[in-house]
Amino acid sequence: MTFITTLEFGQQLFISAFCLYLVAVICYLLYLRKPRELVGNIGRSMLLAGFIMNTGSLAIRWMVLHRPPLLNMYEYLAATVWAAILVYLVMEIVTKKRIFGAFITPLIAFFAYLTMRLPYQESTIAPALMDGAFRVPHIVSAILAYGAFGIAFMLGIAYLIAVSKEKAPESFWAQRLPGAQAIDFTIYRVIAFGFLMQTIVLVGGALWAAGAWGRPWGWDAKETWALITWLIYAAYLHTRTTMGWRGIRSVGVALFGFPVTIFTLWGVNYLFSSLHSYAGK
Amino acid sequence: MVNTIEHDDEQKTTPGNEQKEIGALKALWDLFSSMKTAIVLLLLLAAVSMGITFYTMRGRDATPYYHSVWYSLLLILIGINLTVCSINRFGMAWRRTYAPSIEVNPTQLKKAATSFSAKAAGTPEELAEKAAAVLRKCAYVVTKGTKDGAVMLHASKGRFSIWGPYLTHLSLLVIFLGAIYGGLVGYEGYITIHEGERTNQYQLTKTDKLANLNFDLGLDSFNMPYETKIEIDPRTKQEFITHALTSYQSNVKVYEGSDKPVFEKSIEMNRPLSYKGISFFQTSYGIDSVELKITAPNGESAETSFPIITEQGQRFDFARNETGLAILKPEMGGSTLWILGTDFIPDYIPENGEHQFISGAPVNPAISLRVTQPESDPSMAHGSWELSELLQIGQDFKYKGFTITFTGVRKNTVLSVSRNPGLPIIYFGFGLLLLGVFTAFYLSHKVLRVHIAPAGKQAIVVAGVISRADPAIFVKDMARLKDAISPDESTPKS
Repeated sequence: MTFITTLEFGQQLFISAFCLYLVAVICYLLYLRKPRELVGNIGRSMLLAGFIMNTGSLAIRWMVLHRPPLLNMYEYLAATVWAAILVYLVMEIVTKKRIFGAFITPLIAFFAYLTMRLPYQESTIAPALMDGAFRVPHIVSAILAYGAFGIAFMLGIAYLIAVSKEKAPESFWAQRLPGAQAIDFTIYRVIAFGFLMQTIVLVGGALWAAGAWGRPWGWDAKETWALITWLIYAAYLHTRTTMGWRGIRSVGVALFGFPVTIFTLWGVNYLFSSLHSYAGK
Repeated sequence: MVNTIEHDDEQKTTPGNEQKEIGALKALWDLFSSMKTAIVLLLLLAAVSMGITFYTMRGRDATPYYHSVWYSLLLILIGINLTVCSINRFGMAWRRTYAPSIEVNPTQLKKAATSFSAKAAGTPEELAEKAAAVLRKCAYVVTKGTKDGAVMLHASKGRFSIWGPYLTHLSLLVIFLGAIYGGLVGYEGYITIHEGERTNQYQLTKTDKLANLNFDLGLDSFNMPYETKIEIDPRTKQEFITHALTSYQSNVKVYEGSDKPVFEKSIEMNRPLSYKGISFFQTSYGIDSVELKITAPNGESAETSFPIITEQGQRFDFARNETGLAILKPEMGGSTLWILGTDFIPDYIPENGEHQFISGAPVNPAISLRVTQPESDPSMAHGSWELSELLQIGQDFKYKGFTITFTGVRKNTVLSVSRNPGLPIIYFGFGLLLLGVFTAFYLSHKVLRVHIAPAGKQAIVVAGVISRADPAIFVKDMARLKDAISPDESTPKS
């Protein structure tokens, strides 16, 4: 086996992606300090270059292991980082607001760092994960959902800063950040996307479970926490669209959703005996 | 682009003294049609579920809590809330889709975020025809109305998105109904089949009672294909070999009375057997026995076996008597042989050295035995037992002219048995759920209104958008409308 097709090379690529993400973080922070287009463009280019490396790293694992690289905690987190970068890049292009990069890229870089510290070597995969038509939609929608919820959380922090500086229009943050209302609306759009993805997670997971274990729902700890996450964001959307909540109350629900998401993603694997516990090993 | 769902007015309870007059049923109806109740129930369900996962984290079975009366009651309350809310808001959604209110106040329309007003030549009717033609070209459904000589147009596009939230809520009810129907009519259980045997008896999960299928299932063999892999011990950095299972395969045959199978299938993870509406899924397995063949010095041979117990699904050992011994006492060639089963290693890889016991899957078993003849040593002194090397399948141990061959292990498979006629309903609900959520957030309902009032030989046209949808999505349509009505003179605002 040549170096180019080894898991070590995949890990080297991921480390390179992490370094590029770090440079992007610095650029986005510099852009926050003084919004110069050149610095912002370098930041986005670095993020894009890191994203390509991240993609390459996952592709190499796919080639070497002959299966989608989504089946253990290292792969799952690497893919979540990949998805978060993708969601952020799309968001930056759609909203044309680069300033959010200073909030979002540090969180993504932190998760990339955590990924790097996990064992990247091949690990034993439970036979139930070997195939199943709904495996890829289930996992891909999960990484996109969790990526989106993470981004919504950081936007929530940006909102808190923006709203606290609303009465001081000359202040640094008021000059840099878009209006609190615009951030609030962006959070809603990101969560609406995450909620659709989380719905696919639940439906895809139920269909997969029905094929593998004979029941669509078994109250496994991970299943239950995925449902809890869905319920929290459903509450967010209902309070917003039907009860007309806006601003701090609405953002508060969005902020609360993220620790629940993190617990579903990670905590469940360590604390509970779950059919999904493989992901923690 | 994410659509902004338009606000549905909440049904409010009648305040003050009137509330006392309305019946309890009406009060209950109002309670369940309240969005606040819905939010409280959603968060309560989330909190209770969290509580159950934490309460059962130390090995307790969580299922009884989720099947308890109070948890079911919570789900029923949510079901009632969904039903009442959907019924209450149905009329409004129907009207918004098929009979929208056409009347519009031009002063209000002018103040809309996206609007324009213009004076144009022609009668209101002529201009309305022009505007309607343009809007229809832009794929709007146009409804016309008149009031006090003014003509009003209501143009809407993407009306289906109004139904997104209703579809989502309906889908949850459908899923609930599917689950309830499946729970009432269907059943779940486990069937254990031993290699070389057939059975129709299974155990029901809920009651632990035994029940019978109206056909037999026979197990030809249970296999665990695996891949050999090399791993590195993170502590010592030494390489060792492991066997990673790639599947569990139960090769089963279906019998309908006679000994001739009517159907056969290899059941694997993700590949269940479905027969007569009953599904069988690979769930677990076990080892029944270690099979031995003993050949006496006079050529006489016999087969015997040690029962094996399976602990926690993955640990295997000889079944031992109350003194801790696994012992066989076959009589052969006029004498009795005593055989003790000492070690059972599920996956014996000699090259692994100190990592010998890492892989627990019983794909490559080895055993060690102790053998003696009580007649030759009536005192049963400790040292008189002869210990075998570790024997792999096919290997034998020779003792005073006897040959004891380890011929293999006999396995069993555990399949879950389920009949769930609610599944197609649940799957239909899943389809509705995805369609509903997508429609609610990704298809936008665009409503554009036009008011044309006569002003001498001319007319004053006001067009605008009173909608929560993103104003940007109307920019092109508004420009086309403006060009068609009054290419030169206008006061746009967007």
